[in-house]
Amino acid sequence: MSGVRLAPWRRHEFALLGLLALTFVVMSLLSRDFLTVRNMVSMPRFFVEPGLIALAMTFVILTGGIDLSVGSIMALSAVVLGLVWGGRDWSAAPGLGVGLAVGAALLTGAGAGLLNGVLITRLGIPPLMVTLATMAAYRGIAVGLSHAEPVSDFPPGLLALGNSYVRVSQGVEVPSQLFVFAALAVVAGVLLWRTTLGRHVYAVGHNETAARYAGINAGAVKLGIYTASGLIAALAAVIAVARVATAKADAGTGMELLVITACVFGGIDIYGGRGTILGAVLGVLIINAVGNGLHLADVGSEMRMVVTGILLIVAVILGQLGRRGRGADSAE
Amino acid sequence: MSRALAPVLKIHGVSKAFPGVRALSAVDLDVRGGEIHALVGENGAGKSTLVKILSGLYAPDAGEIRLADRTIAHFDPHAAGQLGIAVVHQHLGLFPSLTGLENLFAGDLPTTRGRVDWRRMAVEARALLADLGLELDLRRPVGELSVAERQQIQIARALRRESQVLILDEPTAALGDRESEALFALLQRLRQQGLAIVYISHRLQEVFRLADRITVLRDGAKVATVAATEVDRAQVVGMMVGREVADQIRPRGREPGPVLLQVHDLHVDGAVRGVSLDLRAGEIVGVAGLAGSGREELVRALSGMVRARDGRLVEPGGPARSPSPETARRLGLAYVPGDRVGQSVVTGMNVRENVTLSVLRELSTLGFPRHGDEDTLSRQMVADLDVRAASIEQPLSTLSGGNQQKIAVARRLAETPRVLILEEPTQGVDIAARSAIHEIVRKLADRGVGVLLVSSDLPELLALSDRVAVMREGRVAATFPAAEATAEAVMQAALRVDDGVGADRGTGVSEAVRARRLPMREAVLAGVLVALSVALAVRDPAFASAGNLVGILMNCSYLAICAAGMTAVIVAGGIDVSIGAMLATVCMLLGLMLEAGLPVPIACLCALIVAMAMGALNGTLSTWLRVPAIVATLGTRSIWRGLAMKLTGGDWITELPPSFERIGDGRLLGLPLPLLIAGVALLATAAVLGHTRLGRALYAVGDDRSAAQAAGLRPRRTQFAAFAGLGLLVGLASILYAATNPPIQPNAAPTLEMMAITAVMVGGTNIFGGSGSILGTLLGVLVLGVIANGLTLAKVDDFWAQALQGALILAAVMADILRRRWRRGGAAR
Repeated sequence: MSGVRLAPWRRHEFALLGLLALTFVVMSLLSRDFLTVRNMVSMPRFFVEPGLIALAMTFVILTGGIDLSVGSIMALSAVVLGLVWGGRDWSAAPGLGVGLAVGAALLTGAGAGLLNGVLITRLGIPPLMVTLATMAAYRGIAVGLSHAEPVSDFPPGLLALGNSYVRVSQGVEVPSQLFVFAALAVVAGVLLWRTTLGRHVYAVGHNETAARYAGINAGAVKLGIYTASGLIAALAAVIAVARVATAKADAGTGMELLVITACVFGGIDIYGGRGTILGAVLGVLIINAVGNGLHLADVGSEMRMVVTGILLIVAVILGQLGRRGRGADSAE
Repeated sequence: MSRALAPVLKIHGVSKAFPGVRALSAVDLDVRGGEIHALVGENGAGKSTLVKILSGLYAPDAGEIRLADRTIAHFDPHAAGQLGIAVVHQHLGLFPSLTGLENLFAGDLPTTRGRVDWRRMAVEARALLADLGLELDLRRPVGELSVAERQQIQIARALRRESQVLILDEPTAALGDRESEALFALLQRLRQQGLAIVYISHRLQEVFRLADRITVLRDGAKVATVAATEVDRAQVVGMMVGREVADQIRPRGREPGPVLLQVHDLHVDGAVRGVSLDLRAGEIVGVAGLAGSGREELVRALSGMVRARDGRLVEPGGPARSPSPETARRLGLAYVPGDRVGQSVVTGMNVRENVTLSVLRELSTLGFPRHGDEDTLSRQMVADLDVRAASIEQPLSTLSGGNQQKIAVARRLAETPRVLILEEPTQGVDIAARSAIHEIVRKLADRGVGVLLVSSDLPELLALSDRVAVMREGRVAATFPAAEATAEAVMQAALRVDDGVGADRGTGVSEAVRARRLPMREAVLAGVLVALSVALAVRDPAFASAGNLVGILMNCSYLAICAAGMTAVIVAGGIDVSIGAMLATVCMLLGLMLEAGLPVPIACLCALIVAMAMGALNGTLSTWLRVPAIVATLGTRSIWRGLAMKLTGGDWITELPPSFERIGDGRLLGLPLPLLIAGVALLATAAVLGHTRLGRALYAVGDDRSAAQAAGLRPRRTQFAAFAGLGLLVGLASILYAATNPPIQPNAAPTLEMMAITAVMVGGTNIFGGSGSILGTLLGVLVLGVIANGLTLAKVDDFWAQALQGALILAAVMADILRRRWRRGGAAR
């Protein structure tokens, strides 16, 4: 990361690790089912989808933007997946059918993200307004296309993506989607931490004009990031469809809130320019552990909504205090 | 006036420290009535800090401020204004969307019985302008005025309240020469009237022309106060830097090399009209010209940041083309913009990252920067340009302005350019750094780099340039070789030969922009509404039935109330996406209270109070706790919705007393009650926004937050009030909603925030805050209502309504942005 190099124990990520441990302690006190091998092993089934989206959202927020449409892109991609698969009889070639359906879903997501990016970079509309509008629009199209009807009967090949386990050692099996997440997290982390693209992302987030004058094509960087955000949301949708074996227009409801909460919790500065992939991943783990623990402790979904909202707000307030502590400008 | 020559403002022992920096130490200063007292010093000498203390933006750590023999204990911008200290800030603190008239009075609008008294304002303003000898059109939004006119508004505003002290911070920084002359004349008149004037400037020529006494600051301490007649320029400069420095004239006589850059007939819309220019290796060509002469647009076009028309950049021996940032870079053209912090350096990154930013690709293997090469290059640049930094890992924000500027140059040098375009390279840089930067420029030229130097600083231009090209009205008016380039000759060429009228308004460009006036947004919207309704009525006569029309209005009533509140929040620069969930929660509470047998009026009152408290929580989070409004309300949206479900465990509330349902179907004066309530709420909101101090403060805060603060308004309190007001209106809407849409459900109004925001956007409210009207919002609501009704009548699938809504928001925002671009005429930034 840019800026002053802090001693390891003063870094934000270190505090997050402590917080994660604390969450585990509290949650295992709340529910005896929390700290069991079974629960630990099944956890990735639930954090991989927000986790994937958080990887892209980190880039988005680092450039000073936000993407509120990720949940709706998930819905739209899921619906497209269902329509392509359920639209005709693929029994002759189920592999081709799944391939086409997944491809169409991913293309849809990338296209939706690209449209966001075009509106933001070419027309200069603030990301907040663009993605607020497309959040409504994409969900509406998803509902309209599917008439709110679910599609199921997916072949086992696809379902495996969300429900199979890989044995890593005696008695420990890991959900296969965890490997997708781990691979992409490493890619995202290296991109941001070690490459010119990463440096350009931070530069754009700190001062877009200066970045442009330095010859960085800020528009292209952002266009790419929003497109990737859409593509990743579609990938999350495919995994979600595989996991619940149903493609429906309510997929990804509330996802934007969860992911933004996780990113902000992970120390991504909501005003852009500061934050790491490691932080975002830790943020996702913490938010997921809290949700999972509360669920096991029989706290209802409505109270979990309340807790998520409170966590988001508390995280941003803490982040603000951190900014002030670093003496950063308290600009808008 | 009898205040002449008596000390008006006395400062004794004022100190101020920031973490790690001692900005002011025990500074004394006295300013007399009827004098112009200049405050000079290098950057970081403490001038700005002193101004901020005097204007009440900073509280001093120690010391005493006495105004007319009264000690002032503690004051904020508001109090400073009241006490008669008026400040014209460097970055003009005006509200671009508000009219000149409102700008004059911003911060304390005169009121009669709580209502803003526009007529009294107009009368007072006319008298004030006549007094100052200024002619200004006060009905125009200030954003459409020229820089000089805006500054006149600022001075008039500063002097409106019987001020005793006028403080001007770098007032000529953005002015052309003629405009500066007008300012000097005004200041001299004010001095004769007995005003005490504190004049802060880097430009010593101006200081010596105007000032009676000069106070020099250095490193936060006062060096001396001297009478202007008793010292000369060199002595003052000596006091500023602690030694005597003068601009060295460049030894000339070296032969320039081959042509590196040839500009042929370059045009930029409205600003540059056919410029041809060539630059040779080892040559420094200065570009002079007043503000608005097309100078800035020329360099932006050369660097590819502004689209040039008809222009060609001729690569010697190569093809000619219209430059883009990529071609400019490939041709070896490097541009260092004048606005250092805004456009040039990235203060959040360190020295190394800044130096290598534009060449990072060349320093990378397969997209991975090579650390060793980065370090080597950065170290070399830091050494070459004598940058004072502890290490190449030092964050740029901790370097001084001069060193930041050297880094900005270093980045461009890292590209090993053949042509370097420097814009205002020493603006806001202290004298020592200035001569260091001059030395760097000379060395570069000696090495064979062609330098195009754009500067408002005439001595600098004359000292460095081999040739000076003077721009006027988008053309090169004259070119002088170094020997013939004198200050007088250059100024003559930069000014119009036929000193005609209106020259001080800049070029014809701004006038062309002004000529385009647009019809009122509301009229257009009303037209759209009528056209839409007629089209629907023709298609389906059922649309035009009285029952259907009233039905549309009834369906719109709760939305209209919420949208009115949303208008206030967005005008003030906020947004609230929690109102749908808020409405659901309030409805559930209301239902529970009614179920419990609470009397209807009391239950309604409780609902209003709760809703207002919820709005107040949103307001608290987004103002005092600095959570961005969208994030804060995204969080509370989740909280409210969870609470709404929790209240009954998700059950509906069906049993409502008939007396409550009468709110929904009752009539008063022959009108349905919901319509009446909505009408009254909208009128009240419109009255508050348009004619109360709070309402106008919302516009001011949304338009320019820091200007609002400097004008003595309280941005946080104002924005908080908008959020609380929205809460109250959502409470009112909840009552209507519960009464007209039984049973009450915890998942009520899932898209209310989207509909309200859409209506506000369609109604023409600026998404960035600062402008908008309740009438526009009402029309927006009606357009949405008519469209929804039309879709229902046409039996369009309900599912598509949401998609349409998103599209509408986008269309409205796009229209708004395009409209504003068109208004600015597409030229310049």
